This record gives sequence, structure tokens and C-alpha cells, in this order.
Amino acid sequence: MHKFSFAFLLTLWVISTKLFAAEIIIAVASNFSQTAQKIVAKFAENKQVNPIVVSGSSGNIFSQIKQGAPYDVFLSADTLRPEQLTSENLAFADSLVTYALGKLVLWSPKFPGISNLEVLRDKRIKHIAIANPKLAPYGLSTMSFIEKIGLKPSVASRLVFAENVSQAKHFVSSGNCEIGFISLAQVIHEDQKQHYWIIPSTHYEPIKQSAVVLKRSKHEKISRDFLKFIASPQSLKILSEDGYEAPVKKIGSGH
Amino acid sequence: MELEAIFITLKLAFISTMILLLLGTPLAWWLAMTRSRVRSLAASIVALPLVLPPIVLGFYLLLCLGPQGPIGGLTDALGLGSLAFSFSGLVLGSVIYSLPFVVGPIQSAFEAMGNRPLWAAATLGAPPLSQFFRVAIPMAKPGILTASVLGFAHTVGEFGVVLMIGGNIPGKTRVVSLAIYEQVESGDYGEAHVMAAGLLLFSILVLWMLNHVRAKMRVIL
Repeated sequence: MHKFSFAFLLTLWVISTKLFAAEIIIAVASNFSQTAQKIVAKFAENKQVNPIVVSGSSGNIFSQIKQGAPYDVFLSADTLRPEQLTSENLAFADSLVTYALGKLVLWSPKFPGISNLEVLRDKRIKHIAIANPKLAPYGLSTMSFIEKIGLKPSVASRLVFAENVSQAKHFVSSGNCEIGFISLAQVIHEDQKQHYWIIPSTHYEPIKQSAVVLKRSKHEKISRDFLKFIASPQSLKILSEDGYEAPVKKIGSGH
Repeated sequence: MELEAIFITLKLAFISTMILLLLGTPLAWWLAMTRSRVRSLAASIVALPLVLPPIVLGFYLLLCLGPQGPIGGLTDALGLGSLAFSFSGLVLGSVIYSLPFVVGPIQSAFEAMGNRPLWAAATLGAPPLSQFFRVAIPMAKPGILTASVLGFAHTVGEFGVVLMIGGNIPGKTRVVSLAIYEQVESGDYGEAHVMAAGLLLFSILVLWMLNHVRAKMRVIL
């Protein structure tokens, strides 16, 4: 009997801690969701918090937030959308922070040993996958880079626009494109080094991924703690292992 | 307004519908008339795009069109190059995607007609081919009309498949649904509204016209 009541009390206790743990919903740009999961798991260790990660395209999450989606934190793949949310008074301006810098790679399992862009002039390359510059920050960065170095005329007719870098990768991995511009994070754990070339960061606008705490949040403090945690050494280690660079400085601080 | 995207969409829908009528009518005839054992299997395969999420269809099509895939291997061997990210690829995708919408109504029309008119034609000495063209086809006209309209409209509204195999190339594979999607995603609601409302209006108009014409036909027949 005593055993049972002990088990019963234990169950109640477990349920109650789960119930009283603050639930925060973190909306993450899909490209960052795997890394975010790892960071969130570290953050939740020994804390009364139950973080839930949802992922989608930054544009989609942005629209959802404007329509009142119940998110607490938004980790975008760009800086524009978090800024727009603060200017529309939907997010705390002083919480805006760049949490990671994305890196571009030129990836091709078919042409190993890429070390520059000359490979793009190869006639055997019929389709080049890039993320849609209008939708994806990585696409925008890729496009401005291609334009800047004057490569656009020779590649324009061969560009294929994917919805995001994940689809760009899929276009290449399925063999339909011979080569593609994607993010380092997508290949760093999966493919051999000779299959991709990390484009020197001096060549292009870094992809600044920024985050904000949303005003709708019922757990503002925990949400802000989470954004502080992303800048901690523990989290930066995860970031760099996953192919992101640590941001140089905070933006929007000191307001 | 993206006139180019609208033009590509209409061209795609028109060509796909033509091919679907050419392929779908004999297929519907066979499905309606055969007593073959493989009939239910064939009918299930034709109906598959009705229940399958378009993204699944697009995903497998992309794999098939790739150089390692069966279709890609074939087109490569024939020296045609890959169909992925080309207008022809979209036509192929649309034909598969809209197949049940064309075969279904024609098949129902043939089934509703039954065998008696054909027997009557046969006793009057009509060979099988002219039974088909001079009796079955004219009698199935309402079904064929429904099939063409549905096939056309369904192809205009196609999204998942073109998203997967199109590559959103302006002037080649960028269709209206992709343009709307891009505008919504990039927050350009104004432009999106113009195209989306246009598509809505188009769909209502098409269905209304179809119902109107069918009602008239019923009176005549």
C-alpha cells in the first residue's frame, strides 16, 4: 500500500513539475533547426523550462507571428524580418541579437576538389542550384556575390531557383543539378571536405541570422535568458561545430 | 502582374490538357469496357494522384528525372538531356498529376452509356473503330467537356509538383502558383493579392461555366 502511495505521489510530483515548467515556443528558421535543437537541449538542462522548437521558413514564421502565432522567441535566418517585427512593435527591440553568421559553400559531389569559381565555367555543368534570392537570405547573399564578381552573365541561364538552401541541396543530391550554392551547415557533418569549397567570407555579405523575443511571450525573462544563452561559450561551441560563425557583435543592444 | 508567369501557366495547362485528352480517352474507354483482371489495379494507379500529396509525386518525379533515375537515364541515352527544370518536365508532371481528373469523367460517361448503343451500331454494320468515334465519343461529350475543364483548371492550380521539379525559372518554369507563393513568402502581399484573387476568380468562373454548359447539354441530350 505504502509503495503505491509513494508511486502515486511521485507521479503527481513528476506531472506537477512538468505542468509548472514554463513552456516556451521557439520558432526557428529551418536551416538552423537542428543546431537550435542541440542548443535548446543544453539550455533546458536543470531548468524548470519546457522549450518547444518549431521550424519553418523565416518568411512563413514572420507571417505567422504577424497573425498572432503563440511564439516566444524567433530565430530568423536573416536580420531583416526580426527588425521588421521590432518596428511593428511585435518584438522587443532591445532583445534583437545576431546569434550566428552563416557560411556559403559551393558544393558538388561530382566535381571534387573545387577551390575556386572557375568550375562554374565548365560546360558539363548545366544546372546550378541556388536558393531563391527573394525568399532565402542565403540565396540573396549568393546572388549579390555572383553579381559582384561579374559571373552573372555566364551563369544566369543555368541557375535553378530552389525555395531554400535545403531544396537547393536536394536538387544537387538527386543529381538534377551538377553543383549548388548551399550553407556549410548542410554539408559539414555529411560530406567529405573535397566535395565542397567554403567561399572566403571576404567575398560576400555574411548571412547574419538574428533573433528576437516576441512581445506576446508570457515568459519574457526565460526567453531573454535563452537568447543570452545562445551567446554563451557552450552554445558557441555547438554553433561552430555545426558550421556557423560566432557573430562579431551584438546589434540593437543598449536601447 | 507577372504576365510571363500567367502565359507559361496557360500554355502548360493547354498542352497538358491536350495530351491528357489524347491519352486519357482511350484509357478511360479501356477502363470502362474491359473485364481484365488488372483493371482494378490500373484504375487504382490512375486514381493515385487524387490521394497522394503533390509533394510526394514531385519528390519521386525529381528522383526519376535525375541521371540515376529511370526517366533521366532514358532521356540521357536518347540525347535529350534532363527533363528536370524544363517546360517539358512540367508537362510530364502535370499530365501525371491531372490524369484522374480527365480519365474519371470520361470513364463515367462511357460507363453511363453502357453497351446498348454500341450493339445497336454493330447490328447496323459499324466496325469497332467507327463505333468508338461515331457513337461512343459523341455520346460521352459532356464527360469529355468536364474532363478538359477539370484537367485545365487543375493544372493551373498545381503547386507541389512544380515546386519540386520546376526550379522557378522565369520564362521557363515559373508558373502563377509559384509566383504567388514567392510573393506571400517575401511579404509582398499586395502583388500576391492581385494574382491570388485573379486565380480565385478564374476558378469560380470556370466551374460556373462548366455547370452552366452541362445543364444545357442535359437538356439537349
